[in-house]
Amino acid sequence: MSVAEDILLSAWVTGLLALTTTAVLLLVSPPLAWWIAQTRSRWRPLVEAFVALPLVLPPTVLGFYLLLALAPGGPFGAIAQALGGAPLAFTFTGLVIGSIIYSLPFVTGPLSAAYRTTDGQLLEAAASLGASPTTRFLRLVLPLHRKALVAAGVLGFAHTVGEFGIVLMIGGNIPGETRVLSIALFDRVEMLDYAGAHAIAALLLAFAVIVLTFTYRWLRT
Amino acid sequence: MRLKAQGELTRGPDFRLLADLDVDVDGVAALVGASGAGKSSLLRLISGFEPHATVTVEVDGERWQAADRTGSAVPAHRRAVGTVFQESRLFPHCTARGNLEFAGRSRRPGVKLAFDEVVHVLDLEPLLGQYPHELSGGQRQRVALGRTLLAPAKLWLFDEPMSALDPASRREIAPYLYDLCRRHAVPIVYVSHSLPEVLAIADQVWIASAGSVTAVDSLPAFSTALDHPLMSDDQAGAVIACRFKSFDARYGLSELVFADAPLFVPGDLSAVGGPILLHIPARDVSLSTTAIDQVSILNRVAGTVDAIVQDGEAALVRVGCGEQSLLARVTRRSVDELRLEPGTRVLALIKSVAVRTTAELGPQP
Repeated sequence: MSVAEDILLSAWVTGLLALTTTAVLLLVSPPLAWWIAQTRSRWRPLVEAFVALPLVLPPTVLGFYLLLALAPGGPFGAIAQALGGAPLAFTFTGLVIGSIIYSLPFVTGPLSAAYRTTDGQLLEAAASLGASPTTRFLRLVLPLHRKALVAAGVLGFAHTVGEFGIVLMIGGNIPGETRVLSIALFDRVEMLDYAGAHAIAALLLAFAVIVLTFTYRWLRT
Repeated sequence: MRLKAQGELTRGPDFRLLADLDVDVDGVAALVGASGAGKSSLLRLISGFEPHATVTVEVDGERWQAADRTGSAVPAHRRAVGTVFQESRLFPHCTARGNLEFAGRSRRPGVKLAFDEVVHVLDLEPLLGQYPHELSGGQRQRVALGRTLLAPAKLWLFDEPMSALDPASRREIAPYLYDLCRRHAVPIVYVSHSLPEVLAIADQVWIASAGSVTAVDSLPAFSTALDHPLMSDDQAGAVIACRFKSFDARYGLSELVFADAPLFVPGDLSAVGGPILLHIPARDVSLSTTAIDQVSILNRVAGTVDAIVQDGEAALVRVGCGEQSLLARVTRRSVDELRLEPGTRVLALIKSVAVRTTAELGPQP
């Protein structure tokens, strides 16, 4: 496989992984972030801690536990097999699950910070107009903080593109299936193919700079 | 509608509200009282924004929350109560139309007005496409008012909703609101700091003072109670109920009967059904202890002084005339020279009256 083919295929896997992960996170994170922002439950700190774990743990730790869970003998792997699927370790699906967990704080954190600033007077006004908690969330909180949602989505996408440790542990290195750009870069360096490594590294760097610049510029408008 | 709010609400060490209300709300109940007396807190209790307060709230026998916290409080969005806040609280991401449509989605029970009707009467058509930040303060409040009218409700709570409006828009909207309240049988609790406003709209008056809301008065009783917080207003004066007798076309005067005495009021009031409410500012009432025949003042009513309170450099004298009372603001020197004291027989000379026509405002209780 030529370097160009390798980059293209890895970029495709990376992009697909980041898109899938972001799509799932954009469904999961807003309700979770809203719950964290306004609940008075005593379980909130624990939930927040679990969401924030990927921020502080080495990705390899998460990857190790995920590997055990997704392997044929692990609980999730067993469930997947019982449902007639293949074990999840070293598959694209397994990679998506790992990425969701790994990028969760990067989407949920900024969202709950934004949701915490919601004007309580507006929520009261909405309730006085007969809007249920769900309606208040869907029709008031979500659109009021739509910029934060887009920013969180971009951050989640970019972060998934940049992940390495978890993929290394649970994804392996199957071209077209689990070989993402960061792994391809690592491989090239190991093979002392510095030209190929340069191409991939520059691509990832340019992507990060461009995405972040445009996001921050858009947030100001 | 029967409204009950009984119990105690505390917020921090400095705020405590004792509510002891068990009243029939019909028409407009004005809620008056100094700032911090607990007026807004009472409205929040009824709306459901204080679900943890140890206050029993019941509407028409339906318990919304219990002082002993048995059962869970009915959440605010299920209470058929619409609130107009002091601030407009429009949703900034929606146009005026979006704000109005937000209100129409609820399926809770209650009276719900037609979108087109509300837009027409509040003159919202030109504003529909605009966002809140593009509207003036008065326009914003007009949209907020319309938004509340569009959500189903059995009771409307108005927390000084006119304070952001200019006098012209106020005059334009107030009769409409009152009319609505009558036609749709949705009672209103209306927080007000303005005595003229209370005199113009109220059927009954609730007084909040020193952290408790208890007293419930008819408008005539409220207007002659000497201890309420709005009494120092220039417009202070009795509201009295009179009966129409005849109209004298020669002079353009209607003759009314008040406490067996004739009262002459400009204009033809023959079309007003039921009692006619008159507001008689205390500053326009003089007192005499002797009969006066040759005087340009037409309206003279005999009565008996029943209370005198000092009011700055002047004194407020309450004169009982049959079942009702008048208020007169006189100098303290006059009190001494006429030797006014409770029990003194006096003649009240009335220089001006303002008719609160009941025709456009609906029947009085």
